[in-house]
Amino acid sequence: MEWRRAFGIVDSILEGETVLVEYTTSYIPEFLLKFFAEYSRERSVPLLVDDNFDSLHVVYTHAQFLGIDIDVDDVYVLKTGGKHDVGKVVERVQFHPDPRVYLKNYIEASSKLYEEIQRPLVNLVLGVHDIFLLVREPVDVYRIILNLQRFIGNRKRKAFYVVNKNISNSLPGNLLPELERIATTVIDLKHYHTGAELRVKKTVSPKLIGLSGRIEAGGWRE
Amino acid sequence: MKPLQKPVITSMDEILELISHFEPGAITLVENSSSFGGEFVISTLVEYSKKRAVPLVVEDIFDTLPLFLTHLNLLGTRIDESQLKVIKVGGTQEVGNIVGRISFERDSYVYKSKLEEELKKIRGRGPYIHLVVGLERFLAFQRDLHGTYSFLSTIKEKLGDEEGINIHLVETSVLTNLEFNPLPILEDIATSVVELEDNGDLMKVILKKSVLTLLMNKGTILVSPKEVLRWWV
Repeated sequence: MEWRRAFGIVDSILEGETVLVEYTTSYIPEFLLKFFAEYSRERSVPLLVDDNFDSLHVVYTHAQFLGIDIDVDDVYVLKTGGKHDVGKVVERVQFHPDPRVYLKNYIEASSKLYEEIQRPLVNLVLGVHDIFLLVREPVDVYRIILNLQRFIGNRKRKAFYVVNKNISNSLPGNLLPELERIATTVIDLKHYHTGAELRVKKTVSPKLIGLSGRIEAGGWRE
Repeated sequence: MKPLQKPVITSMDEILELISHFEPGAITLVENSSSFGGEFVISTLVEYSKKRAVPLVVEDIFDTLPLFLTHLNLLGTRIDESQLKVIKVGGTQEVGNIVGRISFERDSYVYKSKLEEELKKIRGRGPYIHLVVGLERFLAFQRDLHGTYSFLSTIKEKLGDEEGINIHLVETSVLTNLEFNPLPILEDIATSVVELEDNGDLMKVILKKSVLTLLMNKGTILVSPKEVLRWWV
């Protein structure tokens, strides 16, 4: 499948969905950032990145080393923790190891943002595992999962959580299976030299059922 | 960078060409599961440092560097120790040219600020290679996930640095056996990830995540350490 044809997959995701995008060690996050930035520009849909603990800085810097050119000037960023700003940082969330405090901060910041932007948007969530690493109790893990669950069905957004399967599996608790359960669509990306093999494992969107194919990264260094 | 013509790398020049792709500000993770991968990396970096006039700074955590050098000696390879600028972190066996010494510190932030202080002696004069050995020993001393996490955060901070060519050499078997396996997170933070495995008397270099894969359209490289370094000759 050509890179641009994959835009159709994002089109087919329903508004209000929470999509889990799974990968293992590779440059998949870097290519995803480029993909979503281009999608946003071409379809005139705002892109909001949840940047947890400088994960956007990491992905963006790696992309620069690879010679992948990503235009982030119009990307809205909701930043939790970290110190390196990339894109248009519009709100900041103060992290707190007590998830009740953190979640309250997050909900306040994000609702302010949704009011500002006023249009349905694509929400790309990076570095979500860092949040799970920083909380202390199993009950806290569930507090965060339940909060993610509460955002499902919010028609102002199509959310994509980019999750490294190996990291999730290395964390204590039952993170990956829970995330897969609450997600409305689960997409698995398996990388090879010049692209990724895509497989839709679960979806509420009729057009995507059973979808699989290869996405070529072609022209990554134009 | 052209696709490799030969199936096996047998010369030092070819290795140096590969190393020249490591850039300042990038983080390279070398995961060793081969018998003498660490020893191989040290000797080729010393050679690179000498030939290309790029200073080599080794952050030696808990006497990991002296271990490599002793092995190298027994393998019959002498390396120019004066080429190694060493910052000792804990440990007692001193090798190379010791430029700084910091006592073991479990708190990552204190560790980092002490290290920064030592690095000031080297910085400000252009690119240098910053090789960290013995990371797995440091992580083994962490009491909980938090300690590990904050150490990983300090590694993340090296990304985008203008001078340091960062290379972390780790022993896969030791890291993956820790109570919390930090390898997947390290791999995410790293700009490039390379695995070293034994393959008969050759060494297999697996480009797990590397710009070289995209440039050469190749996922693995075979190296003959015996011929590159004249081991056992």
